[in-house]
Amino acid sequence: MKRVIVFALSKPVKWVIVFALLVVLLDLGLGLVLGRIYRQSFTGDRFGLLNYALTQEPQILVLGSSRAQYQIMPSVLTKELGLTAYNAGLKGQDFLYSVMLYDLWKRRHPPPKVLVLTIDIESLIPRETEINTAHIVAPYLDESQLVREILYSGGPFRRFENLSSTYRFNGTVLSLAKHAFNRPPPSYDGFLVGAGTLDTARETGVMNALDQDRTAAEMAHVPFSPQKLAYLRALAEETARNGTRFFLVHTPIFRQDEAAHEAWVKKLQATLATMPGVKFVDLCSTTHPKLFTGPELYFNLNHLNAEGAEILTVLLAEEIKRRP
Amino acid sequence: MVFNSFAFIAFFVVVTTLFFVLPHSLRWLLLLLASCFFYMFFVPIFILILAVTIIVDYFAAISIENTSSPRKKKFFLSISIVSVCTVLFVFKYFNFFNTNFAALAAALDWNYSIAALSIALPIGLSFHTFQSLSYVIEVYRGQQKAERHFGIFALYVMYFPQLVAGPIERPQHLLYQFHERKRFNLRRLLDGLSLALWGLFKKVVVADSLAIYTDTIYNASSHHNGASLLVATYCFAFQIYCDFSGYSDIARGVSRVYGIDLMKNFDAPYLAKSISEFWTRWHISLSSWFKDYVYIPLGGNRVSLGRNSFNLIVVFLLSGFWHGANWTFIVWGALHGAYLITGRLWEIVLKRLGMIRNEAGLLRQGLAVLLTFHLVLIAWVFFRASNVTTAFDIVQRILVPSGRVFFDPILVQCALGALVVTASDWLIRRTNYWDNLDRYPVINFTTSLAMLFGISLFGVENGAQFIYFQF
Repeated sequence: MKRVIVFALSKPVKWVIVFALLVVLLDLGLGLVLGRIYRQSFTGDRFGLLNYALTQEPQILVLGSSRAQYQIMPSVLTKELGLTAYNAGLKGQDFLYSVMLYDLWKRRHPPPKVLVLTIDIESLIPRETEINTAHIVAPYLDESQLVREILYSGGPFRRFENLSSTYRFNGTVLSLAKHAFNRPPPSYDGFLVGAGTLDTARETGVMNALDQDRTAAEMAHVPFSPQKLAYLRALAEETARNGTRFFLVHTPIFRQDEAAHEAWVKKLQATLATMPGVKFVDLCSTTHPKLFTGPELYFNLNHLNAEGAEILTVLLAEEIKRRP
Repeated sequence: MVFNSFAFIAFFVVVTTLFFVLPHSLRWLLLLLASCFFYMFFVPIFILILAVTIIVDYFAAISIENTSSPRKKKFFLSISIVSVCTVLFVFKYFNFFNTNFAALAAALDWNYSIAALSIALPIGLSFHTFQSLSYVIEVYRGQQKAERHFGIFALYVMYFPQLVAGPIERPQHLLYQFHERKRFNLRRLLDGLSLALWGLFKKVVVADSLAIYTDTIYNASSHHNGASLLVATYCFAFQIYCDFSGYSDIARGVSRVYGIDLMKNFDAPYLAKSISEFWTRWHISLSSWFKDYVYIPLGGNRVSLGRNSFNLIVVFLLSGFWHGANWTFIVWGALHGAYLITGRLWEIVLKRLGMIRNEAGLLRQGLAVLLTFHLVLIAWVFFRASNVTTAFDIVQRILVPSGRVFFDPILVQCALGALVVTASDWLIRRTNYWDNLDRYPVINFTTSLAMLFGISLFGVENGAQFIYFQF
């Protein structure tokens, strides 16, 4: 009977059926192959470092954006505190990526003794672009409810897009081809060196030329995202439950808007007052004007160079020592 | 609502389903309501501007047809042209003239102060204004009967696939198609979807990845060297082509699903062997509009060389100005006009020397393509730069390359994308592929599959807006 129905179909209808079947099969097949390669890639400056971080089991885990990656030196933390450390910060990412990474990480390892999360003036406000860049976590969608929740919150069609197994690898294929099956050297601890010293004229020129979305003064007064605050609270409660010391660290930028900073810290501290166990560490030109005001310790407007990173990490280690 | 969004896909599925479910008598209404919804998705209030254009031109055309007096015909035509051009002037050009008059007055020490208008430019204003104008002019010329069905005429101006970025249709080609009874045809639907998919591929895989590099360099042009600026200009040349032709292909593909044929707007322009050939392949609907309604009425090329040069420069200055109220576009148009005049002179010199050959060799053809492309490339610098001074600075620095190219990994995807598009253009043109899809079912099947996965894996999510929406 079925045979008769198939032959009764017109040629275009048959093409459509075969096309649809092939799309589904190829999507599943390609997704499977790409997934295998993806999880065996540990280098590059995007998902490879996410994968590699998931294989590490340090006592101090550092999370955050490029502000963590360029500015917190695990080797210095180990030297100062006698605990193993790994920096899982990643350029272009921020709070939501860190929350997802920690959720994946804790499924593989026991809780760390210390969790450090870098945070800045835009980390907790709602930002559409943040979910777009965090899409590199999409291959882990099936593994974590939290990853699904965050990635699907980016728009009404996100759930639909991610039904496709290949779409989860959107924008990663060329990078996969380059980094497949690569591993970093055994001494790699996640820290990225920012070389050189800030050329203020050039960097300020570039920043002015690029049309920045919002200024610090504007961002300081944007209410925090309820979604992000809920994740921060959950993280605080979980670390408190597991005996992990949780440090929220603000790091310096060149020419910080002091008024904006003051408003933001006030707002943040009021929020953190309802989250016991979270220790806020503010290390910037307001708290350390002699160190972080001049351009010598920066390599660009937002990041310290290696020398600055070492000084910052020593200060952070002192705070970790001082605040049990 | 933009074509490269899931919102549009959902909209298209609903409209298409209803289109084939509803009887023929209600389809124009469905398409008109869908077009209103589509347009109002951007800035709802701007629909009123469209309404003014539609009402004025509807009655102007009928009045032209109803009167036998040439003077009255001219009067109604003038009313139409003046009113739609006034709308265009207020929204698009007022601030430009105002700023330049203010600068001139300041230089001459005159007292001039009229405040700038703080109004946004309605999306696609120049496109539907020109489409509506062509209708009234054709009625005036007696080439087109005035449309008595107000809804159908409104649909002609507002038809959503080509409402915001063309092709700028002619009434003789489009209007009658809205009256035709269309039956559901699965093959036609699949052909339309394949064409739309190709357009979407060009937009999200090629144009949007090229935009990342172009924007990085051009938005901070003074901080990049000549080599990087040159690469960024190559990127922009392909970006604007893939962006605009991608839009046109989606528009044509979507329209083909409803059985409505829109004109071809691009025909492998970067394979043109001269600037005059380039303009028969690039934004064909606009260049033919200027040819029919400006160039030929001015005398075209059946005049003296001097007058012909004048005609060319007028047409291309207008074309530049059509794109935007900025000196960069005017210089861009002037450059193309200058290229064409130089080409004419060169042709005359060759003719006098008896050096014109009918058949050029492959090498000569290749060199001609390269030369034409690079002339177009220089003009693109002015089109993309934020102002004329920056554009001249960029050209100057490109001509003296220095240092290494700023490398971004996206350049690999850009280069591959540009290569795929150029090779495909050559094949599409050679085989007249989109009009002969029934001859290549397997190729169409395979390429559609490849494009779908190409978009899924390489498409730039939340990419840039279509460039031509701003015009």
